[in-house]
Amino acid sequence: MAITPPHELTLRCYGVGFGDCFLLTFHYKGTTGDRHMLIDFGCTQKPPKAGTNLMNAIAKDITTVVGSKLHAVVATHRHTDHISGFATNTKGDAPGDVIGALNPDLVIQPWTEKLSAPIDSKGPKKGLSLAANDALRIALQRMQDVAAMSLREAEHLPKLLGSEVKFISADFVGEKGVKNLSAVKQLAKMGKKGKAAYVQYGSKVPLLKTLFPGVTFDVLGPPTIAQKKDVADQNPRNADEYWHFARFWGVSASTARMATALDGKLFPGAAVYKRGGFPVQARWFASRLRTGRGQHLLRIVRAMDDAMNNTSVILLITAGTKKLLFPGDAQWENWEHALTHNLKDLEDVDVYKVGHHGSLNATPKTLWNNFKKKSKKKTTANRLTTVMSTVTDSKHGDPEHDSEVPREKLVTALRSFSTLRTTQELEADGDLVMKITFDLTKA
Amino acid sequence: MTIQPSRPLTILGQDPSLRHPDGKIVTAQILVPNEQLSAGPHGYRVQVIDYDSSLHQMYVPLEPASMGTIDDPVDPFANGPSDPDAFNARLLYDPRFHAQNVYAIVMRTLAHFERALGRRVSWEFGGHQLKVAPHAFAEANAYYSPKDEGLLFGYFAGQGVGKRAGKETTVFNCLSHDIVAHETAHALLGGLRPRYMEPSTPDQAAFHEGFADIVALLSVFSIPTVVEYAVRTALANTKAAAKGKAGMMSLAHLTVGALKRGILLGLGEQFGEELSGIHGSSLRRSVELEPSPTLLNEDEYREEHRRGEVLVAALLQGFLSALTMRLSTLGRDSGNQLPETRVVEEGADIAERMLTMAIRALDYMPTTDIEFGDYVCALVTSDIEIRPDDSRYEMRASILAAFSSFGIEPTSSFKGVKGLWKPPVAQAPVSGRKTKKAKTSPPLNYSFVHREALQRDRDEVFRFLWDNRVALGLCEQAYTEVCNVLPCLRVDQDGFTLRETVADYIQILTVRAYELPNLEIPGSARGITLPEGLSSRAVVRLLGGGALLFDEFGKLKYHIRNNVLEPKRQGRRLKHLVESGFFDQPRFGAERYARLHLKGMRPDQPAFRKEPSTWR
Repeated sequence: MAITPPHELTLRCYGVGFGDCFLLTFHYKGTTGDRHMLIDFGCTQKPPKAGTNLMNAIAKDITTVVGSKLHAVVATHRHTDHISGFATNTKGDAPGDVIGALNPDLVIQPWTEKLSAPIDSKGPKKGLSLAANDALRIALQRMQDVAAMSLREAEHLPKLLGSEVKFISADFVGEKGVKNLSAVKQLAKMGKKGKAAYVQYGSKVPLLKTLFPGVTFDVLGPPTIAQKKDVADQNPRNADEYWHFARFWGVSASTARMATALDGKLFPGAAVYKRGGFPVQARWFASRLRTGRGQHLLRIVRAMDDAMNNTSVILLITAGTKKLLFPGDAQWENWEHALTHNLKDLEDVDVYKVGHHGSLNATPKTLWNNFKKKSKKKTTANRLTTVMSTVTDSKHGDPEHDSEVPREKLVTALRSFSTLRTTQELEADGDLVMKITFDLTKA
Repeated sequence: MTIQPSRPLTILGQDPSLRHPDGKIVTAQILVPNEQLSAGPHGYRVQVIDYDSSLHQMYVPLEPASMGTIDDPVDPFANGPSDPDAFNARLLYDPRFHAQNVYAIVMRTLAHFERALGRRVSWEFGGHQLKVAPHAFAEANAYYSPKDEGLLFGYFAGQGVGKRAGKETTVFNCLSHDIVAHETAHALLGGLRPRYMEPSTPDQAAFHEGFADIVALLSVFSIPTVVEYAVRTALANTKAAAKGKAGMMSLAHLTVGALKRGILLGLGEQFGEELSGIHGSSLRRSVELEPSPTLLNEDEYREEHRRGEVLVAALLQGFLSALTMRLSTLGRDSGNQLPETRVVEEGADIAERMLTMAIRALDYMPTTDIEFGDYVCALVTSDIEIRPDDSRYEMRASILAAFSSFGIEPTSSFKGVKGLWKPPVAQAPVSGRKTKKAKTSPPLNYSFVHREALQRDRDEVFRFLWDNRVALGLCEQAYTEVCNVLPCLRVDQDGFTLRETVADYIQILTVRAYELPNLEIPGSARGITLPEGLSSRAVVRLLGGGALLFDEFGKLKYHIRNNVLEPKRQGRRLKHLVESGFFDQPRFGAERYARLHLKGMRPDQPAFRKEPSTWR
């Protein structure tokens, strides 16, 4: 007997603060029952009234909703604010243990996470090729070491600079600098138990049809570098530039590991001044160097942040009469391929999960301008719904430099032209989750 | 009490990878201007502050007493243990030697600039003492920071070279002679020509890097122990060495190609081998670059780093040609061989002379929007002024030929002398509105200025400029400022002296883009073409300016300039700025040097193209 497509979708947006956690429940009639997909589960800055066990509380709620079975998990990319909830502990009662016990049948991650893939480190070849894919993969791995070093150096940077460097570095390696290993391992373990799919633009995951009958999942990102070569106006130097990119992170990672191993003793036995006791004539310069180092590290960690964000899985979900777009934290370098090839498919999106917690770079203007269901009139039927998972007064960026997240300019546009739902609404009462229901049968 | 004019200090010849056969690092003892040093070393022009911003640590320097007095200067690192490992360890793992190394190389480079230019040379930032941090951060980078008034050198994990390949080591940029000289050159060029970092022509963008590399390379080659090492390496690699007499070199091994392969490439392998992809590989690429007159038109060489490599390659070619020509004139034995020591001497001497030429030429350059051809003219003209007879070294001929082989022709010639700037009275056009034909300029008017004041006073020079604005082709509407007036006493290596006064000025004209085509330009029938892609409402800043060279009698010898209203040049510049996206983004400032020095390495994932529309 043919399975009818789902008639309704419940979207649960969990109040993780600065992070993402979305549970999609597709409601089927008859014996099919409900099918559940969890997209991301992570946090780097809790909401103001959140208790200490926020993530456990969320994991528990997810269990309450799904019962004993979570059908699929999507970890859009490896940032802490998207995967920290998958971490486990020895007691087996961490949020990641709770999710693991739900035995997801499928775990989807970007192709850059497939660590067992062969890596060609022999240098650039003529033109764009698989070697450039490997360059990106290598570079992303190496960023972890640099993030750990940045976290350490942030301790003695000027306060504001140090705080932001720390915040962004923690997105790579967690607050304790341990590279989110536990979460990464749990995702791999869950994938092994069920099935792991490492996706790129255009990937087809047959199991999704089985798990979510009548729902179409289009993977619109991330593209491989080789896939990008068909984009117009391609810069012929890009292949070399990927290797320069990999080389930078290679040298930086080795240096970061060296700095860790040295443990402050670059010259064992050399006399040093006590901190706070630098000679008067040297203090101005030392202070300048400290600030300069902080600014430079901030640029580095932001570059890392962008690179990792651009590995985000972009999912376009078509369920009945509704289209939902979940792009993780993808930015232009990731979006460009999809916006070149799939602009028409994105026109009639009904629900847009705002990229990167409301940063400007993660909602390309091209994408925004293309949404046909935007409307200034709040009462317009089928008006675009935008969903943003973020926190008020985030530590990411600052208004003085027009880099705050969420970005006011974007939020204004979202409020004016769509029905914006943001997890900031949960902050006032300290609520855990925001539920939105969509009728998938109405046009 | 006899105050010594200079003090000897030990430095590394090139970097720790350059080793003698016994394994000892190649060092050299150089002479720098003497002074009573404070702890740092901390002197009248350089202050070494060994602060590490990654570890938040500052190292205690050597006590001043260990450096002696001005009567009896001491080189604390002069003699090392005889055991090679102990010898090397003392240099590699004592931060106080690193401090001495950077101090000495900076001072040596500064001294070279001051000797070549015949006057004191100020730092760009207005202060007197350049701060130097030998271990500024844990990163494979080194740069000059004008806003921090200093040179910053990083350290990083390297993979070892040669016999030490594969063994991870700590690499200190402050121990690379060429890197220290390179960064010092940026600091000095920034002071001499601050407008060269303005967005302008592709050649200007490349010039800072290219020039700094030239200073670095020639600074290293002017050290006899380094040249000796390179010559021995070249000799050891030739079959004929086995047949020839000990200590002799066959003339056959002294062609341009042979020297390039043997000496320069041999050293080139050492040049930042650890830094390949950061700094060293660009030097190696310069050495390996084959002359081609169309190179600069290729897309690859439009990028500023690659373009700078062509400038270096051309000058290196000139250096090698001059060296081979010189060596061919020397007495040889019956086997057509020369003593190795003589080759070393001549090599170091010619490197020193060419470095002096390269530096002195800066005074003969326009102050804005330069092209490589301007530098060729500056090299030739400045050299003719102090050394009219080139027959002994033929350096000017070598340089002209070398640059021409890379497609770089001099901007000017005068009375059959290629590369000679024209004297001021022979310059174009001054009269008529929108006419194509140039008219002869009127003679210069000195009636209202005083010769003595012209040698030192900015306002006096401005008076001279203003009185002669028509004759000198200045734009009255532009903001005009005389930046410096500097008397010089230049002394050639052979003792010839030349007194001149160098003054430089700039002109700035700010207009809306739509006004460009209608600008009234003397001697031109049209204004400046509005480049495609430039909004008509964009604010455009046109720059011009020049160098004025007065002889010892206060007479203007040269007016070397770029006219703020020169339509073709300004049109090219604006087109380049539009294409490079300058009008779409905020100007980069002090960070620019730091960005330059990643040299192709980049932390940002390459974007294939920009988003066509952006949030405003």
